[in-house]
Amino acid sequence: MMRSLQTKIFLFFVLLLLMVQAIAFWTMYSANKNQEAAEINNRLSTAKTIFTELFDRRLAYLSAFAETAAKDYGLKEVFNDDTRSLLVALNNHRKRIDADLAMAISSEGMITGQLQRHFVDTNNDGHQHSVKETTKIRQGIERGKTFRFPNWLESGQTAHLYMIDEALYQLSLSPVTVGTKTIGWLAFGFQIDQRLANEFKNITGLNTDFIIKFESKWRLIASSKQGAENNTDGSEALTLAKQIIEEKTPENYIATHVLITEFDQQQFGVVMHGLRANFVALLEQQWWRLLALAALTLLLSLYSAYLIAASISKPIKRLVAQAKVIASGDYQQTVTLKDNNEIGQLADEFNHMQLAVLQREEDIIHRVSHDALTDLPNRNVLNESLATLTEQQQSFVLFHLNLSRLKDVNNTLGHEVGDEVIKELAKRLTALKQKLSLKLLVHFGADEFVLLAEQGEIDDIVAQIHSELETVFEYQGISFQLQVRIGIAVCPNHSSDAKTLIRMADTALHQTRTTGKRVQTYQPELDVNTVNRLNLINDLKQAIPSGELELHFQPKLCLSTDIVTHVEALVRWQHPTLGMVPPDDFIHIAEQTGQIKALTRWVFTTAIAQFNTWKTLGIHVNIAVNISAENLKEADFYQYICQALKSAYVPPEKITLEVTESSVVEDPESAIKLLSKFKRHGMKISIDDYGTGYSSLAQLKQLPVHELKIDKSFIQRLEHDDDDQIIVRSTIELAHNMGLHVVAEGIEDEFSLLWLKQHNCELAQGYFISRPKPATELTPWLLAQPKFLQLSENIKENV
Amino acid sequence: MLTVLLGTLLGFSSVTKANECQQTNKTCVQVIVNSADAEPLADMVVYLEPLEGQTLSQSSKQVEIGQYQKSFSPYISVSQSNSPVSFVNQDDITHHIYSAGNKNKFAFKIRAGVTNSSIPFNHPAEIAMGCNIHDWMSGYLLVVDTPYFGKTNAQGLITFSLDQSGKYRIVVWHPQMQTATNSMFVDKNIIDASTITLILNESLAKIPKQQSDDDFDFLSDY
Repeated sequence: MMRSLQTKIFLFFVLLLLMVQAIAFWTMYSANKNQEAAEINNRLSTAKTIFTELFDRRLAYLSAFAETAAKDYGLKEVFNDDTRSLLVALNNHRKRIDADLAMAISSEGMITGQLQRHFVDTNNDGHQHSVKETTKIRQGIERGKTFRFPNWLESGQTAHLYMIDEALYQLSLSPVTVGTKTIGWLAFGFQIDQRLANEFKNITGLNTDFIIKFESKWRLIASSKQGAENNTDGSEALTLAKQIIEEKTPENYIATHVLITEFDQQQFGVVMHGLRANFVALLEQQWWRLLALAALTLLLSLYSAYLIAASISKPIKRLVAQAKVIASGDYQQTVTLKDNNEIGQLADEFNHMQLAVLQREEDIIHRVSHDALTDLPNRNVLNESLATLTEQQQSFVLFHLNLSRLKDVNNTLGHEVGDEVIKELAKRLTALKQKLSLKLLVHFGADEFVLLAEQGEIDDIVAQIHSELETVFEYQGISFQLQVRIGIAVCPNHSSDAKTLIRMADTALHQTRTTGKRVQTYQPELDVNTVNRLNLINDLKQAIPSGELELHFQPKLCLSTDIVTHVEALVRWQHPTLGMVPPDDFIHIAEQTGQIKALTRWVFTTAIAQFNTWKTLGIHVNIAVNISAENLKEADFYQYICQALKSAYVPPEKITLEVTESSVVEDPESAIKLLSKFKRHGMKISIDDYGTGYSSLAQLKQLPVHELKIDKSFIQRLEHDDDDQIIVRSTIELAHNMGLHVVAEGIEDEFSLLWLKQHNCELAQGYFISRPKPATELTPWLLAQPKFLQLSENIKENV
Repeated sequence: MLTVLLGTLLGFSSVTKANECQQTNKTCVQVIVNSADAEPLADMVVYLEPLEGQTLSQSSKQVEIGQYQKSFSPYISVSQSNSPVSFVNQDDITHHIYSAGNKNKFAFKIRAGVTNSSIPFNHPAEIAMGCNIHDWMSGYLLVVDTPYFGKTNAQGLITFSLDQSGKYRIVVWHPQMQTATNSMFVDKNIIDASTITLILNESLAKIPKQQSDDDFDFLSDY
């Protein structure tokens, strides 16, 4: 299905917007991700820095304090002898910084005093609401024992991690000296415990776990999570802490860690972590807001895109609708668009185009319905008018007019003059139409016009027509007599069918040609030939292949010997339904429909075949074949005839080609050329129907012929018509003088035969001698030649 | 011990050098202290303890421990027990001399120019001293139970004139000596004049400078 422009534009916008939004979204997304990562990173590194700072500060504080305490003279005084005094002094110092551990170590590395803070859970005293822990300072368990890390005493480093049982301390050692003599060491420590973890958590917001690895096993020291050390949470916290230390932090956590390798076998790890969701919550919120904003803008954009697409396509849709209106043939509506843009211009152009189309269509319609030359309504209008009239069952008279001798004018003076004559005729008929208020005047075709009149005095109208055309038309100094022949059909007297009426008028008009009358009203008898003619055209195509044609032969009697020496081959059509069709009816059709070529060739080959048949029977006759004017135009006609003769071994001089006068007249030059070739080849050439055409004697002189065949119209009435006798006699003399033989056809009585013989006519042909007969019939007739001589003798006696 | 022994053997071969005390009827003993890399060591305390009950006289030497330019001068002093020891403040400021962390604990303030001889030192002891005011000051007093004591000179040499011959323990002491007792010794039967060389197994630790490590010394303005 075709997508509408609006949809296309909209889709384009949607795609574009989606692309832009996707890019924007992606940019935002990655920016957000980056921001998130940066934020987390920042947070973690800050936490790490804070932790390191805090841790180091505690140490520095411890170190500074230990150093200061070690310089205390009072403590030095009691350092080596009075343990009680030493402990009191030590505790005094410890209290100042609230240290969790204080130790005195002798120069021998023996722990001489150890004070340790112990946490006492007072939760058990019944005060449920009070979970406060109180602390007690007690002597440590290591008093009197050797300090476990003598190398710490020797090294200058003061900061250490120190463990007593489960308690881990940040420890700072400071030597107690007299002068440069070291008499022992003081150590102060802060415990690394939940308090520190909580403090750190308060600062960074990250859960903080302290873990230690001892003998390749991690242990949770403290956690900012309440009670994490004791319950199952502890193992969870430891697992998480281990993962973080190994840099395998779970995805839903953010974490950092500090690893302090202090002891030979122990590692201290600080793990800071938080649920990612908690930290990115703000960002997430921001993100959702962005997302919502993006969605909103997308929706708004899409809506705008829809509006834009609609606003672009709306005027186009109107134009489309208008175009459909125009296509349907309605040119009255115009489209108005207020826009001054291209669409508006298009609409204007559209209206212009509509006008132009309208004009052109009117023009075309006019041309379709009017003759280009006379601008009179043409056959289409006639058809329409007749249809209307017959539908309304009106009675009217149809006059079919044909201008006589237009062809002559065209041929002699040129078509321009012919056109002028037609135009003059049209002018006069138009005037007549107005004068008589006739229904319609139609220029039917070249020299044919049709007048429609209400049924009235037909003779009167005909008289009016003739009187209107009576005046001579002068053109370029030439006078033209505008003479028309008229065929008349009356509705509904003759027919109520438009087409039939036209045909009837035409038939009547045709009849005038043969009858020579100027006006002919239709009569049913006129019609027969016309109908048959149409059928014959179709049937003729099948005649040759179906073997419906047969050849008849009419003998020509040699008047000097009274022997039949020649025959004329005449084609006959045995129509399956119509019976025998006379050649005059279908030869003409064959010529007009291009079937004469095949017809002539069939006749020719059949004739020479018959020639050979007869030859074997001892009958030696010359066969004449009629050649049409159309045959003379065939390029390979000569080739074909010669080839056919050659392959049938028929001597050329045994064949006569009969050519009508008129066929030579059309194109005398090429006809003469071709006939000369035939003549040279040895064939006899005969001019058929001599005397009916317009051939001049000059042409006759040039024609390469052997004989003239005087038309039967001169022969048939020879007995009673003196003029015919003069014509025939002089024609025979003329032919003889030009060295030509003469054939007379149409001999229907004995008189003619004898007369012709008397006047030295060479050959005679006619019913009196024999009708044209099929070869089967004619053969025995030829074998037993009737005695025409005897007959002629009788005639002589009668004369 | 083997090194010391070798050193001792080497000492016998150089007896002729001890001509300083040949005019007397006393046995003249020269002790040379060398570092591990055979450099003579000065200011090393050397003392001889009789091992066969030889009678000892009371030395007439009186030790003065000066406080000069906010330092103990000398850094190391050695004295026979029951001999008086005088602390002499040669500075123009007060010092608070003390010793702590041993049996000979003492402490006193000593004003500028004053001499204090009130502290009795009746038992042999290694006394580390400091000043409560000037933290960097550091001095040592070694109290020995023999009149045969002294510090080596720049050649690492010290000479003793013994009243009686016999077996003696020759002890070398220095607070920076890297042994547990900050000393080493060799027992030797001394018949006639002899020279004994002792070679330290390890080099001495760095002798601390008695000097304030403050950026500026505002006290010197006084």
